[in-house]
Amino acid sequence: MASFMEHPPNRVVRLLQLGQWERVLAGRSIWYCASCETCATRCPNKVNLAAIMDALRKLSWDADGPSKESFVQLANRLFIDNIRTYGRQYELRLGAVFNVKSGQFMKDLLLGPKLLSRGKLKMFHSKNKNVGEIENIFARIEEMRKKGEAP
Amino acid sequence: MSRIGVFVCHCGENISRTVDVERVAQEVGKLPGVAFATDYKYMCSDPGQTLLKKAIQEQHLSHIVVAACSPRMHEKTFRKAVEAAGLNPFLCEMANIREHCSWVHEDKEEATVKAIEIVGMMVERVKKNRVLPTITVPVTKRCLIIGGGIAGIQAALDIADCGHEVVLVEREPSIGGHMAQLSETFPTLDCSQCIMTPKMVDVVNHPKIKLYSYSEIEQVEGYIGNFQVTIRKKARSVIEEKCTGCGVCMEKCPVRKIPNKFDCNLGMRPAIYVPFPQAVPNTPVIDRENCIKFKTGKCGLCQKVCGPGAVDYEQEDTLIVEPVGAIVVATGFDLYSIDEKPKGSPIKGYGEFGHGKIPDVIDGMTFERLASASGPTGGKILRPSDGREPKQIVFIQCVGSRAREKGISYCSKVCCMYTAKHTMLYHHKVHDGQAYVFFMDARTPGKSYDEFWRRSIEEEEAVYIRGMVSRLYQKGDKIVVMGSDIAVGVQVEIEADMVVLATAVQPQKGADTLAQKLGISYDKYNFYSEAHAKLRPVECATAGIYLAGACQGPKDIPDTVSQASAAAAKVMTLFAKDKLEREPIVARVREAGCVGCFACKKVCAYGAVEEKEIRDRQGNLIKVVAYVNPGVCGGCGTCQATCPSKSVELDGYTDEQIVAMIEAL
Amino acid sequence: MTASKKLLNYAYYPGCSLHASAKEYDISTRGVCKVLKIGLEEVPDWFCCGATPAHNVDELLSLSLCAKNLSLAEEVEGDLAVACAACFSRLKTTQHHLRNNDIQRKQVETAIAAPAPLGKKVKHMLEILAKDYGLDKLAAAVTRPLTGLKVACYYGCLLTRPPDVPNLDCVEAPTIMEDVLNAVGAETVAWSHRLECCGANFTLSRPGVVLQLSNAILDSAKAAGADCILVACPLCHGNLDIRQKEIEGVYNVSYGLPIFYITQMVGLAVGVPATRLGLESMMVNPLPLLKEKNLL
Repeated sequence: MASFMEHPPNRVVRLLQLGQWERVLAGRSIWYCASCETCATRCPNKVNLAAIMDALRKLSWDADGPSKESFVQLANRLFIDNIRTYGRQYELRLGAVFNVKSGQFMKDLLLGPKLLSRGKLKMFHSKNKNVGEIENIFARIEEMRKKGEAP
Repeated sequence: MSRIGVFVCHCGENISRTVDVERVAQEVGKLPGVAFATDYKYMCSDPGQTLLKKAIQEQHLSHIVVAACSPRMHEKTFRKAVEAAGLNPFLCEMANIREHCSWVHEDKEEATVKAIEIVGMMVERVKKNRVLPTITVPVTKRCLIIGGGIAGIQAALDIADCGHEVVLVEREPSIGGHMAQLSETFPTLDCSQCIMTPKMVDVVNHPKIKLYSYSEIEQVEGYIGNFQVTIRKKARSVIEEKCTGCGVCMEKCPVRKIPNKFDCNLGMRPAIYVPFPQAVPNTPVIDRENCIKFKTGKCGLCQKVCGPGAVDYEQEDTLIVEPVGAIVVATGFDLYSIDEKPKGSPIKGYGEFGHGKIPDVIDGMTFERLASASGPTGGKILRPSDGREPKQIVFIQCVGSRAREKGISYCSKVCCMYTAKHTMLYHHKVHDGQAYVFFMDARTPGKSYDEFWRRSIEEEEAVYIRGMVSRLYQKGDKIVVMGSDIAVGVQVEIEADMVVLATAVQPQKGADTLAQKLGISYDKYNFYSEAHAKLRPVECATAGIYLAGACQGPKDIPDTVSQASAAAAKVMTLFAKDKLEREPIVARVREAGCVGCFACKKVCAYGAVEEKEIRDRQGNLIKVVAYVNPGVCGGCGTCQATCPSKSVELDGYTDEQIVAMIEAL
Repeated sequence: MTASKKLLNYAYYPGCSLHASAKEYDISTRGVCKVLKIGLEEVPDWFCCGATPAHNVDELLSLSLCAKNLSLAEEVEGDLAVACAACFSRLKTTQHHLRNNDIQRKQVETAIAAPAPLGKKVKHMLEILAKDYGLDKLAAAVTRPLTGLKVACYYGCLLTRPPDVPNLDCVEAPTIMEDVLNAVGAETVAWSHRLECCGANFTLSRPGVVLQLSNAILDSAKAAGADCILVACPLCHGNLDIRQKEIEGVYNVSYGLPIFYITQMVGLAVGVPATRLGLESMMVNPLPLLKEKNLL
């Protein structure tokens, strides 16, 4: 994925080493990481770059600042919202809401009906029975963060 | 009745600034047993030592305490002075009131009191000191050198030229080691074999060098000056004295397609062979595993055609014991391979480079054999897979080295230089070829090294890309190399005809087993450990054994030759005397108390503890006790700390002496 | 399903995709287990593991979701069988992190209000087939060997990486998929993009990325002479199958490579009826290929 990033991974690390993390957080490089874990596997010095990328994304996500990669962040946000609301992924909703909110109404428009007809997308999705417990997990995490007990 | 002399040194201002030295001398002078106490500005100086010697003679002093700097500084100085005045040097002790007192405190009153106590402790201790006679050990003036590469050869020639006998043992059928496999050497591009073969011939012709080729070390016993080494001379199946090196046997041998290790398995050899045409000795060896005669009993052609009748199928390994006084270990290196390693191995292979299965991905030594005029392709750079000339070669640096993840964190030192050399050799032979080098850093510290490296870029048109290679895979008959160029900040993909990996330098296989036979230390990579990294680089902690060459750490030829000559010099220092004098601070076993548990033997780092049988007058065995060989003991005292029955003590550091110091406080 | 009747019994965590866009995987997994008499009991009320989006922006959430799912799985006897490579990776990563990091474990335990269940063994279907069930037994269970079928086994990212977490097989040169396929009679090809990333969940937000990466994979498989590609991950399947036509259009190439899930292929070989393998819902129609090789 390095060819899609404005700062290839080694440059991300270098900027961090020099304390220039704002440049990294404001950029889109970290959002173009596919989490394929190849970097951590190959690094001769055992630097876990995949974990560093996760941490940078969290910082950027929390900061809610001027990151240049809104589409990927939007997709992530909707995915997590689905979990909170339904318990499991409601894929049709994920795709539809994403298209609307990103202003790409025509995206994958032809695919939708094909997938529906083959049963690969469900029109309606029922919530989990234990969706209350799931909500509790989210709530407890928010609580811990407010109290400063968790990052 | 002791007559102790105490000499308190001012050490210029170093001690006197913080400690009231006159008062110390005064107070200590009042202690029982002290016959004479004085202070002086510089005890270690000439007048200071004269003062010491005069006092001994005039005052009839029996023991001496010099209160001054650390014994590591001047203990030898004062003991020599005391000896010159006629007293046994081990009746002289130093009280450290500098490093242990004046240099670490500021309050003058407290420091002075402490200094008085320190000197008082040493006064009580020295009363328990005994006369310790110097230990002498005879020296056999013959040197064993293990390994016949350039390090072993250089050391052998240096020592033999001094008139001492050298026994040179080499595992392979010929001496020469890896240097004989190289084509041209940096930074001058000298032909490797051309500069080496004269030295190899010198070795075999030298009257003082006894060469055991195709031999290994079986066992080592003894200690410095007196080793007994058992050498296994492996069966060549050829009688060396009769063989004239005519080579007819090799021509006629029907088995012709055995991969030749010397040619990195690219070239073929027969079952009866010499590893390369310039082999020394030029006597062939029969590879019994692949020889028809040894496998099935048929053939026997070489014996029939051998004029002098030198082929002997009945020949067996022989064991020979050689007495030597010193051993130089020069076993050299081997290259790391990217093959899949067994599960749980601390060193990993490179699956991302194909685990060694892609035929045109080779290592540096294989490239040398391709480039060498006496190699399997006659010096032409050709692809092992189809014999075509590669038009694009990618060289990758740091394969295995500097990679914690793969298990090797060190730098292999020689690869930056030899890769630059490879690009030059390639450019000279394939004018329209393009070399790419993926590197992290360029390490070129030697004389003319960086200029040589720059030549590769500026004159030989090599393209150096700073960045590493993530993966390579076969695509058709090319190899796709996926790397990165961090200067530009992009990923790079090159379709190469051949890839040369600069693999890590590792010690030879079996280095650890040999070290255990010799009783020397080695590190986690199996490189042999020198006694002190800066000040004693060619000696081992084990007395009498020296190191030369890449077995101690990755090294290029200039450094190897330097180290070999250095090791030779150390050996000659040893041989310069007929008897070896050793400091008598050695452990001594009180046989009456020893129960024979040999805990001391287990903890002794020098291997100095032996077993001794105590028998009665009829010859019946009463018990087996420990005996410390004074020639090998290093005086560390670990045995004394370990012994459960308190039966072993270090002369000069007995329990009595230490307890006296403690009780004096 | 009573445990005593079957040789092997597992708790089953299908994951969100297997109930929708990857339903072929679920159907074929159940079909194979039925024929091989492997017991699968779905964990009641399981929920989304968070996959990549969760751990990408909120590690604590991701670990908590997986820990809670593992805790739900404790209610069902047997090791936890997982088919989706992403769910497998997240569940194993959670166990790995919580084992080694006390502070994180305490935070997760607070979030899920339960102790962190680290004892449950999480196994991928490949492990279950190759190791627990055994390759020899699998070969013996074959009723229709897949002779003549050339398969490119695509591992993707999460089955073998990062090292020390999935512990499925050798990281750079795994053979477990090929071993299973060879046991059922198929021929596997050596190809260069076995372990390269397909673009994963950029399929939603940045499909251009997926087109480029997945194209390279399809191209490499085709060049190696494969008839089809085998996957173990719903997202890889989606990118290579659902988007294959689009890729062909954008790059002006023609692939026509059906993308199978491992259990579909194994199912075909051990006698699961073709109608119960989800073959008809795949975007790139596999039926012509299977008919050609007399495998239907």
